[in-house]
Amino acid sequence: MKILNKLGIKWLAYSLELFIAFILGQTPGLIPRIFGVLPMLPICVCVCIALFEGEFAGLLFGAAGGLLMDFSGTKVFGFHALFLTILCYVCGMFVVYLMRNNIVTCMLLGTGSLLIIGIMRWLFLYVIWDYDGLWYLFYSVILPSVGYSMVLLPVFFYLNKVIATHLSTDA
Amino acid sequence: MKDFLQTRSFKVLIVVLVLLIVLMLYSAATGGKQNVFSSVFSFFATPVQKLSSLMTGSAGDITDLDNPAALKAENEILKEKLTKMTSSMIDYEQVMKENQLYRQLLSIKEDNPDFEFVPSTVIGRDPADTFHSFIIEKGRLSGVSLYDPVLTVDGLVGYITELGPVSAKVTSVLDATINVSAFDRRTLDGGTVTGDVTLAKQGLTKIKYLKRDCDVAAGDIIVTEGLGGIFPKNLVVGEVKEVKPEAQDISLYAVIQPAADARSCRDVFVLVGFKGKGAAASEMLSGGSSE
Repeated sequence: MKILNKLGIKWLAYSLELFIAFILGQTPGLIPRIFGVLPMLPICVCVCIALFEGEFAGLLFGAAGGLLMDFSGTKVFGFHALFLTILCYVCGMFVVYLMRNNIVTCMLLGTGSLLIIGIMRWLFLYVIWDYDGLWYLFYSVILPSVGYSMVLLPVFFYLNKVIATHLSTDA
Repeated sequence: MKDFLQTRSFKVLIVVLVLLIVLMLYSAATGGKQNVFSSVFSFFATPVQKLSSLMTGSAGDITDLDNPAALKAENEILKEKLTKMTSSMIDYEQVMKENQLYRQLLSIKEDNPDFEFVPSTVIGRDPADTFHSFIIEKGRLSGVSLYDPVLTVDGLVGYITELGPVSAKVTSVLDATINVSAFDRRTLDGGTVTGDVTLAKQGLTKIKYLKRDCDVAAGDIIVTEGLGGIFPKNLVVGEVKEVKPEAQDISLYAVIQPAADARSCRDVFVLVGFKGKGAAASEMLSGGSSE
């Protein structure tokens, strides 16, 4: 196990987790739509990684996760990466300097991050382009999507806890 | 504060943010082309997406919880079908489905001998996209070009808006940014098909700029007009559900049930060639309008 740890198996596990979450999220029909929306899994994964690994790893995985989301989207490339990098950095900082890393913190920071990205999407990708039905979009697409992702946060929290604990380079 | 600004992580954050902003600007400037990162990534991700899409081909139908009543009814029909088919070949259903698909394609081809298709499969969808855009597993290397129309056997489903070597992104007919000149096949009243946030959620789109005195009614079929050289003439867009007055002006708009469901389509065809293709492409590229 020590050899595996030295080879950085933990980072490989996180990367694999992020990639699988991305594939799960965008493969047609794999995850059920609830209220017509799908969860934003890469955001959940990146925030949880930031909670366990701090701001530095958080910002790198945030950038990677955001770029994955941008890859599957048709909007401006780099949009999600920009916001997710900042949010994961901030989440990492919160846990390192201000808050204890537990499920309550995960739910608070995770929900906050999801909500911020949801609102940013709404503002920058729809409001400024003056689409019709903006409020309908907000409460029938953005908020359910945030809610759906939020429900899945504990899954990634505990999964990352296992990775961080058992595959730690200090172990 | 000074110490914080000098930390390694903060410096890296600034570098990453600058790189991302440059990437965003570059991406915005290159328009429909996939940037280097996307292209490289798509080489690795497309096979995985293809595989996962293939594996979940049937799972998608089962896990769609939006309409349990319809699923139950469908389940009953399928059970009945299954009983009848036990004596048939194991893959009879699959063969029949493919056969039907290609027959319908052939029928389109017979009606339009100038059409050239590239068959493709949907391998990815943006989970956060309101307008149900999707990614297909064919790109530039397969002969697909930017702005090529994408169809199913039922009708128009969208068009290519971002092109990479091995994959392409399709903007659906539900999207508010799409503008397709179309007309009512019965009354010949013309308008522009475009999406709407509220309608897209229900899988609907609309044709706007209909004249106040037009005769468009529920049940009419809307087809493309073929102006501009992006979409050929007479591609079925969908069926009129209802006609309503516009809130902003005196024109009418008709809500359309698209013939092809962009939310759930799997097998699509990219229309890479047809008579009159690109007739006004230069005008479109300079003007930024899709048709």
